[in-house]
Amino acid sequence: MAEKTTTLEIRNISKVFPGVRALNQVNIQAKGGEIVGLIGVNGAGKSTLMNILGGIHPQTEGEILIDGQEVRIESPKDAEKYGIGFIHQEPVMFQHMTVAENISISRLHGKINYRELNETARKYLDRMGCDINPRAKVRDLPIGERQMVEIARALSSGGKILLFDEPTASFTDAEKNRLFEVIRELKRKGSCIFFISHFLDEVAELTDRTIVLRDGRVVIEGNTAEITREQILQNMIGGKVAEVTAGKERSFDQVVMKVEGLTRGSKPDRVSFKLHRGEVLGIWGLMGSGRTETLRAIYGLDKPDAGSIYLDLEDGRGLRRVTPKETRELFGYVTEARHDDGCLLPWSVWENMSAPNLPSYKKKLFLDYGRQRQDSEEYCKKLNVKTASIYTRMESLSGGNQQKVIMAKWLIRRPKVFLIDEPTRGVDVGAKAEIQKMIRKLAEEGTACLVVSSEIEEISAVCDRVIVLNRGRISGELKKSEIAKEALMHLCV
Amino acid sequence: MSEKMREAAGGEKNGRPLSELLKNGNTIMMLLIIAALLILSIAIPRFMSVGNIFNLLVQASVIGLPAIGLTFIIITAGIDLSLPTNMACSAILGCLIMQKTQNVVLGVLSILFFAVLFGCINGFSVAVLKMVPMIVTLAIQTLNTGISNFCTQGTSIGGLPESFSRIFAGSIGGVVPVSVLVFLVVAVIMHQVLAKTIFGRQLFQTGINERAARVNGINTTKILFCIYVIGGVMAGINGVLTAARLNSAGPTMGPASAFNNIVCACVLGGASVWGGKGSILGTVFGSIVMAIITNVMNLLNVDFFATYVVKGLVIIVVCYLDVLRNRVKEN
Amino acid sequence: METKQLNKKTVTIKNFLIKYALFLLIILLWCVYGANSPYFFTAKNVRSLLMNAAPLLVYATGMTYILVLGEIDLSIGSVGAVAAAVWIISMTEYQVSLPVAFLLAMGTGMICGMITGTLVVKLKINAFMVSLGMQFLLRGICYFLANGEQILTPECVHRFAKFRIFRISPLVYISLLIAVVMALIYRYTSYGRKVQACGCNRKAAQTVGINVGRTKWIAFVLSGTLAGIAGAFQCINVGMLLPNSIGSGSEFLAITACVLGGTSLAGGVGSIVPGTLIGVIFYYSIENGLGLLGANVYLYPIVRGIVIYLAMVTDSLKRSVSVKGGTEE
Repeated sequence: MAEKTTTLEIRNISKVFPGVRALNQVNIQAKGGEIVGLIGVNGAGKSTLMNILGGIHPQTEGEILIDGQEVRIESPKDAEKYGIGFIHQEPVMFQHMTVAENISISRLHGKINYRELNETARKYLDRMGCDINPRAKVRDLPIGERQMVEIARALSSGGKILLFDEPTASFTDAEKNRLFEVIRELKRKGSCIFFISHFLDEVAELTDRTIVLRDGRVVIEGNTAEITREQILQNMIGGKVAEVTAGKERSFDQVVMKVEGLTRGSKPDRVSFKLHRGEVLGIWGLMGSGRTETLRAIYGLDKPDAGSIYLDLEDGRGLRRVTPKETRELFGYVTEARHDDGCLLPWSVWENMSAPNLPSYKKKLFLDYGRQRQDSEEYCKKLNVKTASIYTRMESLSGGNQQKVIMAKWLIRRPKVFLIDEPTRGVDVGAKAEIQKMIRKLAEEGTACLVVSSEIEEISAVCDRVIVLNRGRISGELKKSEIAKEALMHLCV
Repeated sequence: MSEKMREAAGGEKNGRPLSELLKNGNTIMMLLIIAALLILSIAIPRFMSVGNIFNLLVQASVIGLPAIGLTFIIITAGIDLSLPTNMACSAILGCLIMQKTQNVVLGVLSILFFAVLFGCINGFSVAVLKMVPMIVTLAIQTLNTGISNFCTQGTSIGGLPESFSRIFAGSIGGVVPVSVLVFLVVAVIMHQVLAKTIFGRQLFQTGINERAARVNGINTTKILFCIYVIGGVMAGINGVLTAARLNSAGPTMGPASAFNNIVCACVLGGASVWGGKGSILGTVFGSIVMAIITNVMNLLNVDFFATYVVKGLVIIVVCYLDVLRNRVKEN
Repeated sequence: METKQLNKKTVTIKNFLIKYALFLLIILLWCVYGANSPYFFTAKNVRSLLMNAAPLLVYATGMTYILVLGEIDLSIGSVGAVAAAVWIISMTEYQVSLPVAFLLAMGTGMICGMITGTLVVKLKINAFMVSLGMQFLLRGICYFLANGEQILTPECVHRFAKFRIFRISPLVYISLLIAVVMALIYRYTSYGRKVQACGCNRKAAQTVGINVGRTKWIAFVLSGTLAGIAGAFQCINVGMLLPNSIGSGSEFLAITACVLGGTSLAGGVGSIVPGTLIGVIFYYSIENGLGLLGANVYLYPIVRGIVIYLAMVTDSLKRSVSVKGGTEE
């Protein structure tokens, strides 16, 4: 689409937030027809850089040159003017409006001609090879297609430079491949593309050039083909990776929980399995295979249509059927979306830790606050939570520490079964290893854990056994030694 | 919640700085009330008389009792527009029974019964049917007004047994009005419930993040249902006291517009209509402030429309102060 | 296989019933009225119903914008009262002509809307509380302007009120015109689309470069301006200015009408035509029909309360079905 090749030059860009220097003298050059991968741990400055280019917030110092001209990008509107399209991590969507309206929303002015609007939308969707009806309401589209609508919006504003901020976070493999095809197509048509991702494989597969950011600086830059995985990893973390060693195959004999024929609509569909004392059982499956739904049903949040859960309460009576009310009292459940339903952000650390365990702190009619704080102090130390004090508000902690507090709140009640959905999502590398080790340690101490994760490395590091879900049903089971990407994928398609 | 945090911080023996104390809405409110009282007692000689103070507290109790109920509701970001009309409606229904039977106990119990019944309807609709609180309680408000007017044909129910007003509108030792005493006792009990019991803590969790509260094993449906019932109980108690004071019950004792005073009392006391915040102590202060405004305007013989203007300004200013306070906290 | 299909079919019928339950409720109500009173479906009755509904339609049209934005404005009743006071006093005291008086009323409403809008947008105070404060404040000003007394409408207003175009009051034309114009603005201008975008997802709207604050501010100004007109309309219908009752409670009636017409209090969803229009007509037909049936006047609010309640139950059923459908996808 561009007559001559677009060039983008970022010169000595710095960004200072109150108390933090998020970007420090960053220099990057890129040109049309190129895909640049940006990698870094959380807080390395990738998103800040993209936000500066996208006009979300202006840089503190430094300049941006597009086609050799210095430009000032002070608002998303400016970015659009210079042909910069931003595809956000979380879809920026207006659910109750149509696809066409979503694509053109930022360029509407005056009277609206819906036919023109739909034709424009059609044009950009066609360019990407997408077959989405411009008149459809966005809320009726599957997630993968919503992302396509967003890309179309970015394209419609010129699309000289496209910024993809972790677009694959919630994608199935098929959706991901589809997205990559589209990105390659856009590259062929001359766009300059920035691609941010956590996943090294994705960057290696898609990009031409890789840039690693750490602490707001570019630490290494080079052609993707020439740069090794180890180099990237080391530069990302700036030290050695703490490897989680799972140890050898273990055997279990004592069944703690038996799930039988658990069904709720189509997900989960007749799920049955046994969980042993001290075992970490992984649940693996693609997005939408019903992993979270299964955990919710086991925990007793959603009423199942059929099926039951049996538990060994160690009272000598063996396995006994339990009600959802009992499971909610006996189990621990770390949810997938931390900020959505995992914790109470305006509350302090100790309040969050005692929140699910209030009945155990009852003293006559009232609550024993002293004991609540005591327990919180103890578990903050135990799990190495980095916080100023237990009175610090949850929202001012980092993702990893929030996750540890959430783990702690369930550990305080000594759960019979510990359900963990995506234990390390959005957590930086250091805390990730700590959390994974913690799960191993819990298991060795005898707690039965059920871990859902979409990262195969995590599953193989943490779990003793994996069951694979496919469209709500168990499609297979793998022992520790058999866990491998090919085997897992084989079972879920 | 914030109170709890501060209490905890105090226990740390860190010696909270003054600025921290000033961020506490209740402290500001108390200072404001004291300053207002000082100025008023100098400016208006009649103001500080015992009679006027108790008169003021009676007015505060009329606003404060339903406001306590609303505090519980507002913490979950809910609202109950039917509180005043519920009070009038159940007082009328109960007084009809009392008038027919001349039985005070039966009458009082039936007032409470009807008030709780309407509370249950609100609670069921919001908690179980998942209806929007504002619209449900608006419908119930309309229904209440209708029943009130239908049963009284626009007049009021009199002919109540003499002992009814003697007991509930009398005063202890000829000084402290029963309604003030009831208000204070209820406030103390509800403060304990909100601040120190499992129910109170679970209520706050529900208000801050209902989904997270459900994951924490809380039966949020039960909590939501309960708070509207509590609102009903408060409306009922208020109905008994008000009917006794008037020695009759009519539709005018609880006009729908009285809701405005009630919600103002809550917000002045630090509750937020976004939910997650609120305290009984604050609400009690808030209702006293609302009562002072009305009382002073009466004493000064100010045109009554000035009262509206002052109340309006007070609400906007207090909400703005709250915005500023949060901004300070964020920085 | 066969049973499965059968099952699916019954489910869709159930969904259909739930989806259109509100319309069914309206039709049922009208059938009951129509069957019991030969006057209900007469042109005369429809005309008087529309005339009574005119002020609420204007209030609710403005309110739809506010609700779609996910905000709320409880001050519109008092805005109407102040504007009506300005309107009537400018004619009785200053002998201003009727059209100019209308402009003054609109101007007054616009200024009130600007104040509310500024407090919400610039000072970031919660709209519920700001507009509640404004409700008190403006009611006081209305009393002040009217000196606490009722004021009869002057002669020129009487003539205007009796005036008929095709036997229909101009109020009906004006209110319908306002509703249609506002509906077109909502549907076919960039401003209207921005309103819905801000209501759907405020953060996203900011990200794509919409000035959310200004969009909101304009909505409050629009709603205030319309409330000014509606207040004057109420005066025309009543024949005088009653400072304590004019516009009192209109804000909640407007919200009810909007919600009956399918607008969500959570923002992002709603329409003026047909939504709010149907809501307003439905609301007025409840009472109108009762009057024709000769029911006890004191019974009206009871029936009204029950009908609104039932309408909202159908709405919550609709939502629960769509939520379930969503998870099954």
